[in-house]
Amino acid sequence: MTDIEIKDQFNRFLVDNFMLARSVDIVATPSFLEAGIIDSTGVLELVQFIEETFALSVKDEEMMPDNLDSLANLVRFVQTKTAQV
Amino acid sequence: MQELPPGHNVVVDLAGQSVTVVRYWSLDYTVHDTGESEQARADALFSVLLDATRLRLRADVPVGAYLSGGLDSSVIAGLIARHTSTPLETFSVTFDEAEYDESGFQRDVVTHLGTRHRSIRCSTAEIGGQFSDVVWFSETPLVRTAAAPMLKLAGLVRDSGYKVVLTGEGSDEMLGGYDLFKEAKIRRFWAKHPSSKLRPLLLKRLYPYMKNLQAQPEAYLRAFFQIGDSDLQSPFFSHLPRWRLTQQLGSLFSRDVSAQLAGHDPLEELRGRLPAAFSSWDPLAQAQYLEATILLPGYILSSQGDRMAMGHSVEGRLPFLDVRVMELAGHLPATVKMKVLDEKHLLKVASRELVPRSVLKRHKQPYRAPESQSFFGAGGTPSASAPWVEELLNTSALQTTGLWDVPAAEKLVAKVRRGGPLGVKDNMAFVFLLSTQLLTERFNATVGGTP
Repeated sequence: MTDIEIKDQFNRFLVDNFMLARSVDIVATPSFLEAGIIDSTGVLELVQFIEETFALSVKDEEMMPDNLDSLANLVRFVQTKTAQV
Repeated sequence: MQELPPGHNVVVDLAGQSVTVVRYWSLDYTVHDTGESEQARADALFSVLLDATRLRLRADVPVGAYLSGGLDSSVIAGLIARHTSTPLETFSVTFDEAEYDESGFQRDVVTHLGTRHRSIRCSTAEIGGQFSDVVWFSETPLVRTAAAPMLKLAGLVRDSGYKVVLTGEGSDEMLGGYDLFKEAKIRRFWAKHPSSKLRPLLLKRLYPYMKNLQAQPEAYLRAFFQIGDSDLQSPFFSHLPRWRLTQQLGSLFSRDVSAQLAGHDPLEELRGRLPAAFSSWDPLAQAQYLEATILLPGYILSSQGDRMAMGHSVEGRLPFLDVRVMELAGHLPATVKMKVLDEKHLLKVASRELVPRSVLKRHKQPYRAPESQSFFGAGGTPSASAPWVEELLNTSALQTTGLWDVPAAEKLVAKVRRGGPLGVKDNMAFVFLLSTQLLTERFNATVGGTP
């Protein structure tokens, strides 16, 4: 899957599921946490979405802002994980 | 329309055509350190609470008591059962889901005190079924469904031939019971050593009933509760995480409503209303003051308390909000109210003989009820008990009120219908949306654009 395709999938998921994602430009948001888009349930929803959509398994120690906190981080994380499979 | 704030009176001068609102009493949390022993303080609390309870049993009709299974209502029931001659009948609500249900503790208290007891089961579907009336009686938008079981409980009281009940409300605010107070204490403790690995884990111990928080990786826990220097200086430190969360519900509003709210800063307004002594109080007292003056009168006592009880013409009486109890509690040092992380410590000491050990030792469980899931069945169809959900939440109904960013509101509704995991914010947002739609429907109010 290309970066653009992954980005589109995340973009749609975030806008459909997280209230604050609608009012901001997701691509330009450097930190979902700081923007208040992701809360304590949101991070679990996001991980579930990654596992189902990209057929990946996310380990506990991978659940960290470096992997999940922006669109760029998410794309990099998914690409790295997919390459490992 | 304006509400008269608690502790104020209003003088209407018909001749001079003037209306004057005057404050005659306010909560004071200035510590009077008398140097008394813990036992002496507990005895004083017991005796004033007993008198406050006795006073509220005076009536020309029989008086009952609510019994949640928590400490506060158990203490009141214990005072009546053990220290007055009133034959006591207690009333409680039970839930199907273990995470909300407290019937085990209720039974412990009933057995311990030997009260005549009646309980009523509130199913998830019934919460949906009651909700239209809940909004009708509360006359205000809501962000929680917890008022619905209270309406049902008042119905049970009324059907049992009672018109008056004593309740345990006010104890958490006066004597330091809420988890929020502990959360603030832990956050301050953590802020002293921000790199500590162990201190943030105390937050997980605090909320064993919050599954999402329990599953949280440490890096995220850290980020959610992260404390900035400016937060530590804020008079609202204890409440900032909660208020920031609630503030996000504003993203549901239409452009018009957002524009009207643009210049409005509720925190600044509140800052101007704080008593002069506020900054000299300890952090626990500050948090208690915020709870006792904002959430207590605005929601707990009105939407969830008095208005639900009065929906069935039942009068609630509240010994913990007797002025003498509030004054005694207000002057207590923080360490007496919350000893390390033991909430309502003094009340527990005072009520050792009254309530069963299981209730004294239990982890405090906030009163909650099933939220958004009460309105939809399998496959996202409206629950049979709340068929009106469909017509209140369709595109044209959402447009008619003029309050909402309709695409945003529809996405929220779709998410709730999908039935996946919902966090506090989504649940609050959905209940807020639905209750506001109900309010405009039931009161035929024209809000926003369409006249």
